[in-house]
Amino acid sequence: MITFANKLTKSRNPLIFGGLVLLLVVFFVFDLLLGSVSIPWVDVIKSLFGATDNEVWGTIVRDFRLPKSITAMLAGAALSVSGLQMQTTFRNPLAGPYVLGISAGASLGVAIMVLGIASVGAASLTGMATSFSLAGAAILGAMLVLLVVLAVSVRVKDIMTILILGMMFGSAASALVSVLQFFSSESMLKAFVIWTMGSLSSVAGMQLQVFAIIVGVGLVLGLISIRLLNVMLLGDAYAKGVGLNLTLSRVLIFSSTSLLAGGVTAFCGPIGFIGIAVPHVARMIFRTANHSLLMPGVMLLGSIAMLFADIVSQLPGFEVTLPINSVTALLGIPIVIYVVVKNQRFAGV
Amino acid sequence: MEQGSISISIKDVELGYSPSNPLLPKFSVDAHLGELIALVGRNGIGKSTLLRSIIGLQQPLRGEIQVEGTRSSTLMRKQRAKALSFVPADPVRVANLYIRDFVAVGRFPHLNWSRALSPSDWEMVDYALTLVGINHLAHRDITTVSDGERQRAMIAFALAQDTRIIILDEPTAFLDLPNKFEMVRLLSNLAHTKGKTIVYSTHDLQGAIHEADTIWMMLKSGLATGAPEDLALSNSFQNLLADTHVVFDGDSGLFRNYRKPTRYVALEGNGNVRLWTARMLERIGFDTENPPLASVKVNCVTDNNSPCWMVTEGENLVFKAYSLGDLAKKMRAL
Repeated sequence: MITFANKLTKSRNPLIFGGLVLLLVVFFVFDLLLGSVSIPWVDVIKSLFGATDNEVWGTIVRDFRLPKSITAMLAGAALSVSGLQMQTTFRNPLAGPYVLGISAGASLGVAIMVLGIASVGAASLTGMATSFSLAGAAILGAMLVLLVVLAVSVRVKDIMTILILGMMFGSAASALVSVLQFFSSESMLKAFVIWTMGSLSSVAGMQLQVFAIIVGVGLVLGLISIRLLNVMLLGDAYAKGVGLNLTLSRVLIFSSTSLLAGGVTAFCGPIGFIGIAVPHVARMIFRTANHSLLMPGVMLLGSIAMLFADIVSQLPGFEVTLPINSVTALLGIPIVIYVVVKNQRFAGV
Repeated sequence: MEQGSISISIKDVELGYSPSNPLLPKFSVDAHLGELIALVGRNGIGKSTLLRSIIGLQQPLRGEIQVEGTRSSTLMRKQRAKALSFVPADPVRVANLYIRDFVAVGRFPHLNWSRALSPSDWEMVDYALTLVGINHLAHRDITTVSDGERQRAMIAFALAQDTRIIILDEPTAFLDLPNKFEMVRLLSNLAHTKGKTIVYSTHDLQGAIHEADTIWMMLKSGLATGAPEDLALSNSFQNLLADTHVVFDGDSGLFRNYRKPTRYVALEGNGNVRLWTARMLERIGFDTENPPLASVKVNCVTDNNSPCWMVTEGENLVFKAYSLGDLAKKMRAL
């Protein structure tokens, strides 16, 4: 009976992966179809391969919708992988990409950029706060927090201490952001608040390339961390017992997470809940704690979830678009609540 | 490495947290290949500290601990992980973790840079599961099996790590009585048939006396070591029980609460019935060893093939009882 169940599980996984890839393709195409301008699906496909008669439609699909869909996929995979890494590293089901204070650091960078420098006067908001310079400021902020966290994790061995310090750095950064908000003008404040709502559509062209490289490196580091995560999942005693270099492993994993979470925050804003919820969905679907399956699983599921969130945010049939951050929160929170209520096994991530 | 060679050598070691106030005086002891060693001692005496020092997670205050001839604290991570494995006290509670996947992590120190398990690694994992007798649970979620099965999985992890030395922190802590005995028997088998040096800390003295080759007993006065029977003969277990109401009964090899008898009773009878009657009387505060001081006599008799007890005072029958529970009630009321 048990061997049978095992065979069933084993033959199940390729099917699940196949199904997820199919779902990804469907959502990707559907995401391309949606937008304020309605374009027939034949022309959407045609313009992807550069063969449409309507130049405007071609431009819309190639320069706006395609980059946005790719951004959604990359951001979803990035947030989910870093969420998985943090939940395993901290052995806490409620950990997510931002527990180390990465997004707070990025917010601080952006806040200094938008609220600080801009309000000092010289440069106009439109000049300074292009999304590229916003991204640069966010990356600097995220890196600052990362460096502090890495310095801490080299010296401090206890993982809970690292978690608490990470949260404290994050809170300190948020406090500084509040100070900046308090002293800034209304228009600056609005620019900042809009950034915090997140957006997938401001990444295109050169920025998309930079974003893809950052996320790509982070994902490769994520794949390298698979076996380390399988050991860290068991806790420090086991990790030390089998001779895992905890400090080095944490440095690798924190670097990966910072690139992923920092990159997404920089280019799309602080998008919440995808990173916490998707790893739980992956565990429910694959019924395993083995990261060799979970890692590719969350990459796929994260991309799917983000595309889905983007589709929902465009409210098919309506003229308005919702902020992506509220959509991911509304989609993610029920899943987190479900996991917390259903499992109630907090020790076992 | 041959049977009987020194696996762990502890030389003039002092343990504790402040150098001026070690937990116990310095001690030296060796563990030999193929030996099952039970580490016993009261709470807080430093059992875990000693285990942590052996596996090199902590430095002793003074002295040194050698693992297979090398100072434990100077061993490289990988070397150490190949020389000794450690089974922590806390049960693994990771949801959705299959036992086979869990045990496979034990192969970590043997993996190359790609860190992928080869078919021979998986063979090793399955062999470890077979040795502890849970092969049939390989594909079960580790949170859904019993504590005894989980503890076996944790030992399989150490076996998959394929080290000559295995250190276990309280492997019997969460187990029921039969499982406690099964567990030490398993450890004894592994030590004697697979040539493992096994050191385990425990509060289960009964099991340790029953199966261990050697007992390391940590006392405030120092470390007492020896075969369990030697320690029993020299009445050393009594040192462990100082300042408590527990006594070690050298005749039965059992531990029990010491009770000061308040009354005397004479007991007549033989065999098992007499033995358990004496136990019960002692439990409720009667001394059965000094019949001349007793005014009441309990007579174990057999009535229609079942035991029955007649209590007499001088020549008079006071009462009869048909079970020891009944007898206890009536004796208390006397």
